[in-house]
Amino acid sequence: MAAPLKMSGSRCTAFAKLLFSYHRPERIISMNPQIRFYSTKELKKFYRHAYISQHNGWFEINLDKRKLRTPTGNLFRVPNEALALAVATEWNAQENTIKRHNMHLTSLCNMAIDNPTHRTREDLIQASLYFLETDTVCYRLAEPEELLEFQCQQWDPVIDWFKKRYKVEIETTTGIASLKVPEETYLTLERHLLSMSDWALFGYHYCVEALRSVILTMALIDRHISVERAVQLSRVEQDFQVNRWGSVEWYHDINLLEIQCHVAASNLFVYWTSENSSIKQKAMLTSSNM
Amino acid sequence: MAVSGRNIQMYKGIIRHLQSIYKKDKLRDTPAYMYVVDQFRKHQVTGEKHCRGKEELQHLGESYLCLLQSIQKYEELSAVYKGKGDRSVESSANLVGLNLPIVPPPPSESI
Repeated sequence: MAAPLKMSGSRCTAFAKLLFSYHRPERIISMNPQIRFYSTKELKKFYRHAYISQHNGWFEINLDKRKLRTPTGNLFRVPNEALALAVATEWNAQENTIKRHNMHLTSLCNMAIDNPTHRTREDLIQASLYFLETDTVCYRLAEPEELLEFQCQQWDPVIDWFKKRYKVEIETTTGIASLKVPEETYLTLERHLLSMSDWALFGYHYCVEALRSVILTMALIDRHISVERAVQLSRVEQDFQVNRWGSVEWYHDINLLEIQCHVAASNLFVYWTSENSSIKQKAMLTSSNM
Repeated sequence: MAVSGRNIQMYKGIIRHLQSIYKKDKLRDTPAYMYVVDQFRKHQVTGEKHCRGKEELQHLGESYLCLLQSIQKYEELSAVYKGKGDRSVESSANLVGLNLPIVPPPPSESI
């Protein structure tokens, strides 16, 4: 982000020294820690307009005349025009102060550009598939019975779709012991994810974390269900309890909206970073042929 | 995209949100608006064949609308329930229907 954040040199060295005292120095150098101290103050809006510009096939964001940068100082650039426009709209939507917690697409892009935890493709795929054995839709509560019925009615169609679409096996349980997911299921899904672009994998992981379910993420990104439906399915038990005991607006509704923001943003992010469109011209009679 | 009530609603929803974001500018001149309109025009069903991306754009548009709506509602709700810091002991006691014991006045020095 182009926020004018200050990094104090002396504190930085002090922190590095502290690290040196605990680890071997050569390891620190290979880790190349990027330390930056964030101000916790509100950030005033310091620009009038956010625009997009194109350079070498990448799209950049300009805040007035300055280029937007990521938190670690890299140039902010995205591969897709629609994504750049959506990010610029996020920046334009800020009024007096910049609310960074509400800029989900920007933070997803920052994460993909900076990759602050140095994740590889394999790491991201493993981290996403790790959720499969504790997938929300596979664990049902046997009590009360209406809940079990409700869960089966809501979740079974998605699971059936998932099995058919990826030709995999997955079981459901009412116990607390973890599921045994067949090795082939992992391999199939891993192959599927390996075909995604690096950026899209960040979106996948973000979505899986928000929904706490690989199956729902796959169904959402394959356009089988909408964002609202995916979020609703991930909160079936909570919805059931809310219907019975009542909703607390400052907890349930805020939580729902927050998850919806995360899921919608990651769905858009995956779509835009793996989109590859081309226009096919129909065979037409040109004037010379006529 | 086939013109159906659902799609028109989605289109209007997105435009309304963009309008509230770009209050001071002329909406027609903003690149985001132009892009949205352009996308909707491009994916209309032509007389010759159905375009494959029909549901694709619908899904995309609905996701974007959902994102914009959720952010707006989230902002509104957080503004309503914004914390005011810690509660005082007295108001916490009142919350559960209790009152603080009355503190006796300090003994006067003359006695």
